[in-house]
Amino acid sequence: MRSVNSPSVLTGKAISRRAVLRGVGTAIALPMLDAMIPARAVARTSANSPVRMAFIFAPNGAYMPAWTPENAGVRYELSELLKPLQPVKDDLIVFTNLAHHNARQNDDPTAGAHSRGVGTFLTGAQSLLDEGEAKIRLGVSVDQFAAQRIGQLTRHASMQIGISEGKSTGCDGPYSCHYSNSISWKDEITPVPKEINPRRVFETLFANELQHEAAQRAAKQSTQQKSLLDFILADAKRLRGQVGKRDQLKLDEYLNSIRDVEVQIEQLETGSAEHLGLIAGYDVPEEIPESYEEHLQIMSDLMVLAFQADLTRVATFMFENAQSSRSYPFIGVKGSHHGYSHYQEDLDKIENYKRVTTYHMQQFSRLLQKLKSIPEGDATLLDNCMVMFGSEIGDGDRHSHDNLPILLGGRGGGAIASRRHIELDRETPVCNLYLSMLRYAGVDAIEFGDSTGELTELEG
Amino acid sequence: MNRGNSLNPSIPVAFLAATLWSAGVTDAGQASEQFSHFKTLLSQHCTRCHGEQQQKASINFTRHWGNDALYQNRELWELAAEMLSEREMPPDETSGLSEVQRAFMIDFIQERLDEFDCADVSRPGRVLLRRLNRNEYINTVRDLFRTELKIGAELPVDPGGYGFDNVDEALSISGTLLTKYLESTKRIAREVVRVSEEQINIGSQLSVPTPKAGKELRTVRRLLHRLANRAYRRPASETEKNRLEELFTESLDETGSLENALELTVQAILSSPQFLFHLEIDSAQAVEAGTAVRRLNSYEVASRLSYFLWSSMPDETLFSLAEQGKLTDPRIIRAQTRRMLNDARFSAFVDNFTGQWLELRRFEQIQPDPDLFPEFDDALRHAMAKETRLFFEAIVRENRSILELIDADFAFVNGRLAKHYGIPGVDGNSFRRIALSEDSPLGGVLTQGSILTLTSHPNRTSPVNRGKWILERILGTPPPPPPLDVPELEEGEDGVSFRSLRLQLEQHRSNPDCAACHAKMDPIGLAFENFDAIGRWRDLEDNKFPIKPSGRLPSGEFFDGPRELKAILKNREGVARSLIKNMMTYALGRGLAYYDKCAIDDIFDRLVSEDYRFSALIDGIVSSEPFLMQGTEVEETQP
Repeated sequence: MRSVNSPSVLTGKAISRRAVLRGVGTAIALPMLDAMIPARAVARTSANSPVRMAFIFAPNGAYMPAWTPENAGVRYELSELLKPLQPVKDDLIVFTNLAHHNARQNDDPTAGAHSRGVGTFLTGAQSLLDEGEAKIRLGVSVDQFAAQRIGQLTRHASMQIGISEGKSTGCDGPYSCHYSNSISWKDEITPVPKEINPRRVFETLFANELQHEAAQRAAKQSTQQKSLLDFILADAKRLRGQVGKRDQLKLDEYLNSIRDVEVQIEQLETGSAEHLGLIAGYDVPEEIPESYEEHLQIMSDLMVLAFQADLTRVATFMFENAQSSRSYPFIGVKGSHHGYSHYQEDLDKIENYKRVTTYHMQQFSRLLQKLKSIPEGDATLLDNCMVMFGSEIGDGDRHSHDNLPILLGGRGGGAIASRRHIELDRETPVCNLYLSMLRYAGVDAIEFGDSTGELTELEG
Repeated sequence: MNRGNSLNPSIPVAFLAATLWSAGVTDAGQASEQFSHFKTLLSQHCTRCHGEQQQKASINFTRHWGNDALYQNRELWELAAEMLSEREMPPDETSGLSEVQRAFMIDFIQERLDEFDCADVSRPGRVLLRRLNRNEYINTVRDLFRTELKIGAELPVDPGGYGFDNVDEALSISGTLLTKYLESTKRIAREVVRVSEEQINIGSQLSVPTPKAGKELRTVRRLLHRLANRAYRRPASETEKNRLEELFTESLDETGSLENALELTVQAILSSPQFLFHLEIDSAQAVEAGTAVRRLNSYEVASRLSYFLWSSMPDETLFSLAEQGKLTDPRIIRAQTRRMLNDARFSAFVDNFTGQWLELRRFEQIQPDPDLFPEFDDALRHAMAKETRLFFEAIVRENRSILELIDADFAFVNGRLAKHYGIPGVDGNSFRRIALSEDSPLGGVLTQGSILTLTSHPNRTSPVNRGKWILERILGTPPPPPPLDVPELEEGEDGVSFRSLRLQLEQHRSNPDCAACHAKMDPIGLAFENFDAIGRWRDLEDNKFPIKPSGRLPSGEFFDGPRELKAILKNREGVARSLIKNMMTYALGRGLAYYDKCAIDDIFDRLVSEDYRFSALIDGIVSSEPFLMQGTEVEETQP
């Protein structure tokens, strides 16, 4: 078995990024070897279908009075904002009272509720500023945590997609834009950039098949690429001995990146003819579509395709970046989404704010329906998925981090009893949900982020 | 409560605390008065727990509160200022320390700390190992091969820090990113390496006759060495050269293709850390001797200059000066700077520096509401961006006063933009320079369409954004972010309002949580209300409310309209200081620290004595210690 994440493979010794791991954002896993036994990885899945996990992010919270369903339990009515999810109500859980404590200011007393919220979103960790705004420090995100443990089972360990590239400066509060633009974090200092170009997502997913005709050349190429990697790896190691300690951290990033690429190349060597059928006639635009809706939908479809072909089991998708001020003129929302989210009891703002959320719910619903339309074994692809939806804040006007608008689509291979509105105790950590999701995906973890235990309510 | 109190000039207002270096105390009497006031507050609110009786957290202020001791215990007092501004101290809400008193204490500490003697503190700072950012990478490849290649679109934007995307700490690298770089370098190698029957070309400059079988390495060896020397921006070491030759030979043996082997070797050069990172390696001697500071060598200076002014690698002239070790001579550095400013590659500076300092990059993405502003199309957007570029270039190339950035008697317009601004008599697509009359509200960046649009909402103006932008970008005194869970003031984005914006803002200001900062932002922003959300002149807001562009700054100055406000702003030290700090950050590729104050003060003095000419700014930066020196690893252990 290939070892995906052991730093010792290339450098001969573990690279310690930080001498002291702070108490935030650390995730403690069972020893890697346990997690990597395939039998365990698929232990809880139905038949032989693997469990996939996706995390969908839409910014600026929601108008919570119109979000939270009135009753809890199995017999509940979808609220005004959740109406578009009617077709997938059977496959859905609505949560109330999930919270991200580390998204609050806590010891980091600067403004920037959006930056902190999106930072914490999948990591459960506190976004840190340290000495200056350029410092970034967070924690591994749940998707990457999973990818580092089950990623070796598929061609791509994970996929990160989105719609907007994002700003390079001027993001919320004094925080680096890394926070607003990425929800996936490989480790506490490395955000994973997302891909916004559907053409490139497609070509990355199906690189082997697309180069089918040149397979032999590709094989030769990959030997060449490996010697290239060996070459630059040696360069970096040599330099590492010549630079100061803080510079070594930067070179370590580079060294780790080389290792990632090596693994990727190995994965690429195995092409698949059955995928060729899947992508025959698949229409991906050359450029990024101008229409937001078209862009969003084609990216969603690519995610579905990647799950369907089992090219990856872990995905993150940002409908927009944190604190987005996108306007949605095609549904009559002419001003900034973020602006409307500060509704201050202004009826017109509330109306616009709700429209954006409703629209995002339509798109989320469409994604779930698409997954549901694909049979897999005796069940559907959606049955074998866990698609979480969330935002960086709860109520847009209050910038709150309790009672976050969070949904979960799919049954995680049968482990999850869906069609419910689960009202939890106040301040239940979102990370409890992540801990459970990890287990259903075949990753045993003792804790994640600020989790206090699994979310047993998921199983009904 | 009378907010006017906080405007008393002897008690600095809260937001000054956010400035890194506010003006020092002017006379001695005032100084000692302030000092005793500070001591009184300290003993009333702090020393019960951190004094002679108790030393919570092992802190005893009474030992360290002499005026000199303040600086000597810099870290302690920095912590104290931080605790105060973060409201962590004094701990309980009922301590009775008023906002004004708190602000005074923070300011007092900050000012004293910044009064240190530069003769005692000589620290050039240390720029960390940083990756070439996307722009630098694209330009360097272009200049390395002297070929225009379509590259870079596949690379993601680099989120920056301290306002710029070339800052060391913020430039990370991940497997995903490296994959993109590798794809890019592979494509580049494939494009630049050309092998025909007769000749081998690498880019447009390097070529040799195609060798016979068996003689490949001998033939291409020098080619590869030359390429590596330029790609690494310094002479490649023997080890580096040998390894490249080995790689080439191995690949040739394996694939039997000269072209393949060359491509791989070129790709290796471009993918190696020596190329992808700005390497400034401490000499072994310096580290061994425990020297905290070293002077950069000529090659390193060449790169600092070229990446600062061109966002690219040094050219042959710089390399040959570096080879002769001449780039440590200040006169030569100044002459080179002059040459570089007039080179076409300087456009990268205009794009990248002003693109980020003035946020013109963000302007490229702004989309005003197409229903309300159907005339805002790409042609207008490009014209606006070009106006600001041409204007900035004129300041640089004509060596004008940097204060003209705030107000000038000339502008650049084409037909489209002139029509937009209501300037008669300019037609056609090409830009021309026009003189502005004395009563024109135009002149300077603040009233250019680009900036006015960028600081507006899609459907209406935002005096708050405009004020905030000027405080932040131009004066270098960003208002502190709004307190937690107090929403930012949003002025009726719905587009339907029954009161004028000015009235709405005044109402918001009645909320004391918001008032302190909005008293600074709003009057400045409101001065520009005669310019609509896409920078057009208007007399009425929403065609119904008359516009009153007058106001009073917290410092007490009254102004009527943008012209008078610009005249006031022009006299603010902050304008020059803010530009210096921004340009220093960009030039160094790192965030500034307290010890950079010395270099900034020097450059400021130089600007003042040279009529604020742009050359004084640039020369000041390229001859400063932070630019020409580097803290060594030893420095890392210092606080």
